[in-house]
Amino acid sequence: MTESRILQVEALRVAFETRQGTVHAVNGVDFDVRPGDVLGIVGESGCGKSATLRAIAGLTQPPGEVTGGSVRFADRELVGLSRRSLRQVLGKDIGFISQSPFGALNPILSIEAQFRNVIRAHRRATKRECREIALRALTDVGIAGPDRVLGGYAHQLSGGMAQRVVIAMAMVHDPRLLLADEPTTALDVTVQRQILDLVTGLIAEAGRSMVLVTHDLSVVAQYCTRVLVMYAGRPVEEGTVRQVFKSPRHPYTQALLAAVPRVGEEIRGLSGGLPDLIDYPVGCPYAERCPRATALCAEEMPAMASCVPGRAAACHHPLEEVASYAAS
Amino acid sequence: MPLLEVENIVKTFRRGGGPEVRAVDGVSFSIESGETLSLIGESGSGKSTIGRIVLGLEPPDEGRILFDGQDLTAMSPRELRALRSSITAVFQEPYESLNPRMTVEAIVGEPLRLFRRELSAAQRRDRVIATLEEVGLGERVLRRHPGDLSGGQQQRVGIARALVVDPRMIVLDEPTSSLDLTVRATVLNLLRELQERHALTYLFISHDIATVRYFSRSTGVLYLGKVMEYGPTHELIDEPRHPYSVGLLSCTLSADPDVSVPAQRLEGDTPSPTTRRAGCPLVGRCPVELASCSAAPVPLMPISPTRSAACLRLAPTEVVA
Amino acid sequence: MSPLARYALKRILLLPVMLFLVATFAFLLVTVLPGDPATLIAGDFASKDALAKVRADLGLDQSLWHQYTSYLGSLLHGDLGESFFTGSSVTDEMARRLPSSMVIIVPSLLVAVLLGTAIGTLGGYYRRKPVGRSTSVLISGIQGVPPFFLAIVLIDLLVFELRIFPTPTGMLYASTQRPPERTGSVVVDAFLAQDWGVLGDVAAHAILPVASTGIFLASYFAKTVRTSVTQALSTPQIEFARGCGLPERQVVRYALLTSRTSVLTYIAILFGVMLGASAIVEVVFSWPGIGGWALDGVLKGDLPVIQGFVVVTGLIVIVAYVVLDVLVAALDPRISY
Repeated sequence: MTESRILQVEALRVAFETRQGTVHAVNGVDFDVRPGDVLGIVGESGCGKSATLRAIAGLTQPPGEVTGGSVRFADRELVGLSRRSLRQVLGKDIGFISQSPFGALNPILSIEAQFRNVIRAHRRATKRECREIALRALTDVGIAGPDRVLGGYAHQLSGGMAQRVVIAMAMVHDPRLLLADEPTTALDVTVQRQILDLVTGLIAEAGRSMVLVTHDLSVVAQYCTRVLVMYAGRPVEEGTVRQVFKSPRHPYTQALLAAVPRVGEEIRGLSGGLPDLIDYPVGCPYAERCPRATALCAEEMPAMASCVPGRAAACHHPLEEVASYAAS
Repeated sequence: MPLLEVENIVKTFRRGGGPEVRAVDGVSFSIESGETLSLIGESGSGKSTIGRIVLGLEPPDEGRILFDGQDLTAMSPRELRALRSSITAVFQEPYESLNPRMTVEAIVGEPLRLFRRELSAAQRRDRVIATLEEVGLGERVLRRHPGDLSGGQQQRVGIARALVVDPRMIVLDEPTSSLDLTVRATVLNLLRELQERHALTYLFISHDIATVRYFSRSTGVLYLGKVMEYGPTHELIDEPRHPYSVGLLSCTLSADPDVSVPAQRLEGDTPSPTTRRAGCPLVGRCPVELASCSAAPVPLMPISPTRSAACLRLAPTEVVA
Repeated sequence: MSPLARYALKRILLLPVMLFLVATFAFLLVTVLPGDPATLIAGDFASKDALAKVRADLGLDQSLWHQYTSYLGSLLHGDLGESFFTGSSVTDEMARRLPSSMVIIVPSLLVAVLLGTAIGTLGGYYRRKPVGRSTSVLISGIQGVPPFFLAIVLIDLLVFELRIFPTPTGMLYASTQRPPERTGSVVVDAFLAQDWGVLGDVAAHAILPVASTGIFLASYFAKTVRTSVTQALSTPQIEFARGCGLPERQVVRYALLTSRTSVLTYIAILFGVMLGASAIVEVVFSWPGIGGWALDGVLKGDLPVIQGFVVVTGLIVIVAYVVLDVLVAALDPRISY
């Protein structure tokens, strides 16, 4: 059973110490990733999706701290590993790409020097070998004229090119799992499409897996195989993309989908805001905004209840499942 | 008569001795009173510059802007100032466009102090409260500072500030881009309600096609400072004709997993706007390019009774010949 | 010509203009200072005739414009005038003293940069750990102690108690055989004569003033470096570097690379500050540099000395800034010239 899971996240918690108190950014997140999965973690700002992704990669920045739970990658526990041991995994078995390609690249070192550092982080290689590996990696991400890119610097690249370079670096050691945090949010739509095609293509090609954090439901709809919807630091619904998008069970997922502009349909937004993440509610964090909420919801936190493996919703009063989508 | 007519405006920037950038390169459009025109485009398309020119924040290098029949480009600064309260704006980043040290009351009241000097302090306050209520905030935020408010509330303050002087037209420059999906929907709905109630005219600047389709009647597609295609929004989005519009729309992803994305798309990145081109700006990325495309500028030509496009492929045959 | 060379040339061509501005500033500064130089020289009880004679000698009876043009004229010939009190040429005096000051200032800055970068990097990297917290205590501790006080403590401890270093009475031992005089500056003369013995003596005397100044300056560097390293460590760039599994020493190197420009800028600023502020340390160690001499000039109202000091140090600082600008441009690929 465990063999088929490349990543197992259990009861993961992340908290940030602030002057006002401890902000509970991630409050018990569980999910699995299997080989070939492209799991989308979707939610609005403050839902804890980026904090979850960073916690998996051990990249939580102080004052943030992983306060509990477990992250098992290929049956190895990552939570609590020293930076030195974690470094053996990051970049080699797990790749990481973030939102801003220009932010990710060092502005002062040449692209070639940065590639060399990334390559030598996990293997011995001469300067010439590094160059050859880098050239191949750049060609693989669809960069024509990789020589010119290697000799240049980050600021000379367009946004799309820079993100391709970042992807090439993150994938140069052929990681089995790619973690991507809003990888196309900073890019224009025409470029976004190219980058997403490229990344998901690279993932599918070799049976790798990916966790893609995004706020964009259409990115999830078109590029992910499974989806985890988060709200206020907790997962509220999980399933295949068709299950969740066509037959949402959690009222928040439904509200999210109702806010997407569509032809010939009115869109509906949500009033109110997130619950206090410092004084975290005892009951369902969505209760205050939920049209289906009852007294029970304010008192008791609903657990992620699944009827079918891989399909779950954390709601005391879930929406009726549309039968035709239950299995898809 | 249209409320706003923009005729052939050109705006060139030159940054620190660098090469010239033609941010807006001969753009014309008009908006009927009470309507919404969307300008859609990627970064570098010049859409925000057009907004700033219409607002009078930048003078155009060439061209005319007629507002209610008066030529803004020929006006004295004094006359322009008087018009300032007729065209207002809501910007993308609510937090950045609101002074963090001012209270909501001061922010929303500021345009009144500038343009409605006849109002007493009490009248001004009543007006501010009424406007805040209209945007769904109400009196309780008066003493708050922008930093105490959520992103959606901040943008409502921005809308109140634009609305308080009773403008005839509002330039909406990506008003919902930085907002969360569920908040975006409430703000878009608010903007639509306000438009109906006050017969407002909107110039809506956006890069988000789904929002544009929901929000506006007609749309212009911009690329590198030029209008590529223009027409009724639903026709243009459902059936784009210009190769750039086709490419742009094919990149727009549907939130319905059963609607798959079309395969056709544009190659490469948007080229640098500093590159000078004699012909169509899409040359080099266009899948249906002709040799004549790079020879001379391609004007916007009617392709149907309601639509026009700047493409030789779509031009009436006599033009190509 | 490479773009960098063209950029450097442009900056160098601007130098005369800036020097002219500094010279004018120095002239104006002195004319607006209170006090009558003639009275200063001739004394409070001098007769009217005597005062008039002194004024005529100094050219103070001429129009301000005339004074200004003749001042600029002599400046062009490298003539900074003579001290009111000693009558010695300010130019010669500066030439003799400036190298001695540099013997303190340049090594102090070097010590400050190395020590400051090390402490600052530690402080930034371990800012939430005991090591980091103790560096910030150390930094504020040093900043609270004025350098002359540190100097006095060092002298007392290392010179009089432990007798490790020579007494703070200038650059040389009384017994040191001076090199043949060519330029007037002992340091330069010793260099020209390749007299390593003399230079060794100078070095022995310089250690304590360099240490006390260097440690003091290091605290400022440490603070700058700590701030910029702390900032750099929270950037997406560092996150990506760690995400690629780069070893921590590389991660710190990336963070330092980003901080480089601010550190370089700070060197130039502190260099300028030190030219003026070295006076007290020079006085404590009886060091024959320009600082103590200029301080003396200021206290006495010796206008040519003050003027000369402002012009020369101004020129040096401007040159240092130009060198810095070119260096920053050469090191940062993002800056286009």
